[in-house]
Amino acid sequence: MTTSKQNDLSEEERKEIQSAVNGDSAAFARLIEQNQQQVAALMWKYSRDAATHEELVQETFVEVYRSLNSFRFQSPLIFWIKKIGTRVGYRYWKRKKRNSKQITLSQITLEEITDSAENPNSAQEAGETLQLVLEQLPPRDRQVLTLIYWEECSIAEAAELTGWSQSLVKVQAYRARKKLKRLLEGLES
Amino acid sequence: MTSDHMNPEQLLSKLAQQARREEIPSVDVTHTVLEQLSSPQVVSASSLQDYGPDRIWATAAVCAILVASITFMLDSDYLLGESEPVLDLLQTAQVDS
Repeated sequence: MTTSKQNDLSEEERKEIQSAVNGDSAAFARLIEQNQQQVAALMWKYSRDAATHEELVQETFVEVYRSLNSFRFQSPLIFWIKKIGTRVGYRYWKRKKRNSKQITLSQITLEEITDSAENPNSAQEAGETLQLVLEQLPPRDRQVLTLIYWEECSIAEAAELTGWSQSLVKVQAYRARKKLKRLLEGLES
Repeated sequence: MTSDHMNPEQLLSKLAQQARREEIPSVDVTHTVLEQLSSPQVVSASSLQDYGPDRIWATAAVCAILVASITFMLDSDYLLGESEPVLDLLQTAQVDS
């Protein structure tokens, strides 16, 4: 993940955040403008549908506003915002899992997936394939693999973002990889 | 899985490496978020600030009415089961039957 855990908030940023906490909507607007592209990049992993994607970004910032007074200035603001975004995205997957029909992996061959990984026609195609593969897993498995592989989080960062313990993240990732292996083997047979 | 196929870790790493180069659609949610936050359903970080004096007074008035009603009922022994008129009515009904 590109976000460092080092706390490098400048005095100016602290003042801006404090103003937003105190109800200064202009300060909060600036805070959204500064961080929304990074949040958009995160939420793109949760939905590639343009309308849903925008809604998830919005929902994240509404939750940021509601919880801003609990921000303790101990990590960079964007890391804290991403923590909220991760939970918003996870909730969305859980809702979606309950009431949607997804494309199953049986509609795509293992050959196509491997080709897409080795020689993708575009980054977009790789993103679509990656999402299709991860979509086959339950939300918890999908969450941990998305954070570790796609967001490039360390175990500690994934634990911080999800609110799970580091050992749970490791166990969950191990199980998720096993499930994925079985899924891919199923495609081969 | 045959040897010429990647294991899940390799597959995920390769796909993710490519996918990270994808151009993410740009969004501008500033206006919609602020609009959503200005609606009364959203409780702000500074809590009661968004509720305004009218709403606070209305809540206080309802609480005062509730307290007054409970006090009245306790004073008139209504809740202690010694309500004479009700007992009288019951006795009359028994005699009538």
